[in-house]
Amino acid sequence: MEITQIVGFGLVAAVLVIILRQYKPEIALLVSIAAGVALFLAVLGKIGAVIEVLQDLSRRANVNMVYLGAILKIVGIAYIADFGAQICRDAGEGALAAKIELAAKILILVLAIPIVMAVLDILMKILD
Amino acid sequence: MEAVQNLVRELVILIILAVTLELLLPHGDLRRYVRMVLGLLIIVAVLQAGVSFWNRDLAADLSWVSLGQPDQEATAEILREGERLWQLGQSRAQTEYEQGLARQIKALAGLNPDVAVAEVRVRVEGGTATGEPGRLEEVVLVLEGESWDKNNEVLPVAAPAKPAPDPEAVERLCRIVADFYGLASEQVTVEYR
Repeated sequence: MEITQIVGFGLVAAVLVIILRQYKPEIALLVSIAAGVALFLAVLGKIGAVIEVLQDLSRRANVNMVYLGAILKIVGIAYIADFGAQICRDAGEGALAAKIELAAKILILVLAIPIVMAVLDILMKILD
Repeated sequence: MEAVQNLVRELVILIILAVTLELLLPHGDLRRYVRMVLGLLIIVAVLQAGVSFWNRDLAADLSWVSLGQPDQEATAEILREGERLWQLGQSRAQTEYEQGLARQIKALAGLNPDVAVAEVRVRVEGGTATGEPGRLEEVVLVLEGESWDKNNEVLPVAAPAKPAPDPEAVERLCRIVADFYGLASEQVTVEYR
């Protein structure tokens, strides 16, 4: 079972990080990052199937693929920023985590501009 | 009735899409932002479906907002035009290739001082879509003067306007051209004018 491997890996990494944090906090941080990346890469291959389903659903619902791409990018940005911000918080750098989240929010809003404009355009056309 | 059916189907698929996308949302502070954008996308899709149901003209006007499936007829028209342009280009390329080959063969024949070649015609066949020019199928060497009749021992009494070339020299030239282009000897023919 894949989930048992993932959970086992996560638990081992967590124990290792707790032990290392007492003696070498900087190494503990690196182990934490490495474990997070490894867990992410382990499930990365499976995301393709989910995206295919989403693309198929969008095609059937006549949703423009550009918008779906934007949404997926936004979700990706959110996950990556969340990952980075949590690591920063674990390292005691709450300010840095807040800056990462701010950057992610700005990027998300930039990517959302075409969708906002599309909504506005539709509403204007309907109201005219 | 069919339009209502399509609208309902699109809305149901949209709901499924929205729920599936919502499952992907991360936890934490960023969740609100992603949800907002996702909500906007759903609004666009629902409005587009509704507009296309109630007002076809407006839907056509908003086609850039939510393209959905490309227009099949327009795509077919573009493909036909592309095919026509490709055929035109291919035909031009083949003509230029034939002309180039003819000039090349004429230059080759010009090295032989015994036979004066007035014109060379070539036939190329089998060009492919990948840009291969095709195979040389036939070469016609047009010579000035009248042909020698090999079966007739008697020479014509009236002298021709231009003396006919020596048949052996002509045959040699044909062989050279055939060997040079890897053709069979029957593929290189001679005409007199």
